Amino acid sequence: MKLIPVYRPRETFIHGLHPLAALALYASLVAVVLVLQNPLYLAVCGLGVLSLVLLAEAGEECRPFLLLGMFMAFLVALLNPLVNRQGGHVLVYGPRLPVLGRLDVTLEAVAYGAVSGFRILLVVVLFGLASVTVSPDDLLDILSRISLRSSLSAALAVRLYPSLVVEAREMTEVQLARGERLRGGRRWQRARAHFPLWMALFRGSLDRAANIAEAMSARGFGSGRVTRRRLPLKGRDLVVLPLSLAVAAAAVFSSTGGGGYRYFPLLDNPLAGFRTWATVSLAGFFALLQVIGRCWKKWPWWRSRI
Amino acid sequence: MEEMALVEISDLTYWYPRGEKPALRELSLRVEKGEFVLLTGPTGCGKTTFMRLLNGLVPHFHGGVLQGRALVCGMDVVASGPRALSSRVGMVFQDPEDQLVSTTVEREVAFGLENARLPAPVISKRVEEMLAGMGLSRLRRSFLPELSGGEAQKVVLASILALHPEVLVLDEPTSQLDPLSSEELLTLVRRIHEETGTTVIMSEHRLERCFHYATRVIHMEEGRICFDGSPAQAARWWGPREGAFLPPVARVFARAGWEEIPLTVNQARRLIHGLESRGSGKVEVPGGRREGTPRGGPLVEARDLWYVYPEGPEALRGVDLRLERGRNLVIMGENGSGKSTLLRCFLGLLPPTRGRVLLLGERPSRERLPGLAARLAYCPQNPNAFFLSPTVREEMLRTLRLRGYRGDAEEAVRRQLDRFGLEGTEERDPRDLSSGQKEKLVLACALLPPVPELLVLDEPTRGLDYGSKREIMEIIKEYGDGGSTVAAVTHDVEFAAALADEAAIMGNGKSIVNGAAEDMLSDSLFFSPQVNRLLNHLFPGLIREEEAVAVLEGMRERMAAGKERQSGEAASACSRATVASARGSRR
Repeated sequence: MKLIPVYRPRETFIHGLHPLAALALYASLVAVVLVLQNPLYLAVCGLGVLSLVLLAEAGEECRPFLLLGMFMAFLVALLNPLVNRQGGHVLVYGPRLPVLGRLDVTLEAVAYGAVSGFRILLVVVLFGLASVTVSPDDLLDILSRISLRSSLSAALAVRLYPSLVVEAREMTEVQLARGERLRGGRRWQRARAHFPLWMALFRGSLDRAANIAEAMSARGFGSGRVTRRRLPLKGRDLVVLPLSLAVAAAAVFSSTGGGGYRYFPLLDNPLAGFRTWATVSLAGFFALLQVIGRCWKKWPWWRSRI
Repeated sequence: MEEMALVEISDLTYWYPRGEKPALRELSLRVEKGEFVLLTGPTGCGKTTFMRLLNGLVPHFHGGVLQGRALVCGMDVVASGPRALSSRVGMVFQDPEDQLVSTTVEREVAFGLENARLPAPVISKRVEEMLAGMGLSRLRRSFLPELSGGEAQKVVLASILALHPEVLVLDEPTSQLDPLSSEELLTLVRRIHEETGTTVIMSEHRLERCFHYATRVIHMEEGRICFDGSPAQAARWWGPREGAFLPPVARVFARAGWEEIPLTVNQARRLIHGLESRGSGKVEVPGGRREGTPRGGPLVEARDLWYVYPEGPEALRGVDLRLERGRNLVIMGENGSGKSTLLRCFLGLLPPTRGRVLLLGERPSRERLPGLAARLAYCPQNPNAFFLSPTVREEMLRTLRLRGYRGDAEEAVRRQLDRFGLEGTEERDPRDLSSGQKEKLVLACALLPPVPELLVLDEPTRGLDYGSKREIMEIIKEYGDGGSTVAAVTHDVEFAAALADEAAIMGNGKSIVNGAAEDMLSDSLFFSPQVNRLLNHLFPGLIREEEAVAVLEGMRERMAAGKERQSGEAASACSRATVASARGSRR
């Protein structure tokens, strides 16, 4: 039974990437999403991110991140037109409030809010995809060269999080059976009923931490230097790493070199700034990842080559 | 010159920090290379402290005061400490959850090797060796929190063995595992001992699985060694003491007053061979079938119950089960068979995907469950999930408050503490109690007034020694004798046999069979108690220890009578022969 969305090893091209290459890919895409303003570019990015989720076969694991992102996107899309009063096309004339002034809703603010929300959705999904496809052990192997103890603490957190979730579920169920009303009532009543449960959970975590520390000590941890694993870059990493950086650089160039898109005071025509070379590059990048990834999955020979 | 022992402890006494009494007292012993030492003793007798001493966790990790000397693999424990000893003394603790550090199996096995600063090629070789040798290759990249308890403990063992330790120390390694996983793990330990000659020092409550292949048994009480000898000597030593730390089959012979105590079912069969047909006396079996008449309809009923986890497997597939008032039902089955899911559906914690559940005449749900607290008590597998209060007293008062008790709460708590033998623990933190005391406290809370109509137990004997188990069993029996109803999920066949009127065996999400306990727990390799495996061919349906003791007492008496008759016959035959030879010589 899969408990919660955390990293699970899987035989896909995305899971097989070196942590540095994977991080470069996700960081570049986040940069692209944040830098590009044109909604059509963002639509291409949205399709690309979706294709990556499918390539990683991580649809189920990414679903909670998608739901969280949609909720955040909805909030941003809702609030932005209310607080942002720029734009020339007024859709609704709102009341005049003290301090805040007149609450008019403009077409430009609505569009900007929707695009900002979509951008947040993509960032959250990319974050989720990174957390379910990059091995924390491998990543922390790299980080341990900077700080072994911090990286081990992070690895333990990843390892123990599922146990904590199970423990919290068990405690909740036992307390329900004992007659504790954890559901219903006012928020403060629920919080009051939950408080002893959180404290017990906290104490349980401290006990477990002490036990793990003892077990680690029994296995020689704490002697200072350790043997580090070497994680060589493979062919696939040498393709993904530079391409990711190139796409990020191209996005930055495109947004600063006249390819930007303006929402205020009036919306630009998306097609006017929709440069064909940039679109083809962006779509081509995602398509290339798909082709390499699908071939990697299908042909063992190709897999052994890269 | 005398060869140095692998473990050499002389006149050692140890106090934990703030400990009023020493945890180890005047301990002196030698363990030679290649021995398989089984440590026994009640909870809190100092077994774990002794094992912690062997790899320097005591006193280096736990602190405290140590007097005397301990040499392990030629190294002074106090001077060396766990870092130096870790690659020579491997230690496996009780709960695998508390030992795993990494996220994948492969990385976990490499963890100790990396700490030992072995060269990378050596680490790779040893990891491969361990994964293949322990049958873990297919799990190489598995996410550790998703492994079963048995698999996780095997990973821990592999990660310890990868260090090629000279001494393997195991502290109740199967206490959190189901019987099949325990069997597998102990077989593995035995194989390692036999094939590599590794010295093994192990404490274990499932004595029936390891007592006979230990080369030495050490029994501890209150920090002292009370007995040190071979398993056969231990069995004889335990004989007059009711055999609390013997395997069930040995215990029943000890309780029945037999001089020779067998250690395995096979040895026991050989002992009683021929007795069934010898003599004319018939052995009476007390108790027999626990027939009962239903009183007032079912308390729990499941009809065509299905449960499918979201994104997961079909955990329950059409279960039909019914528990009548006043009856005790035990649900057994291997891990993943659907037992826990069934229990959660019974309580309304999981809504059925299909079918129907009735609990105390209502359709249970998370919203309705708190309203049933005065009629129903649920004791979870992990007692720590039960405790929320900082003291035992407050925990019990909290239970009374949740049940809406209107009487004198302080008096009710005091009476319950006396009844359950928990006096003196009132102001202690429930989490700091021993496993047996924790389980008793959960039951004490569960059975506070108003006494519930239904008691639901999830693995109530997990990790408990025989003494604690017996106490718990007596409490539950006393409750059941009052006409109440018990539903229990357990892996412990001896406990199941002692408690159950009815039993259901689950497999693949279904109730494979259910019916009278005497039928369900008989004639099975894994779901029958040892006494049934010994006596089922003579007394079909005999599953309870008391019954077996009565049978063996009868056999012992007949054997003694037979011996007397034989010695009488032999004496008369002898005198006849003497007479005949005397006559012959005269001729």
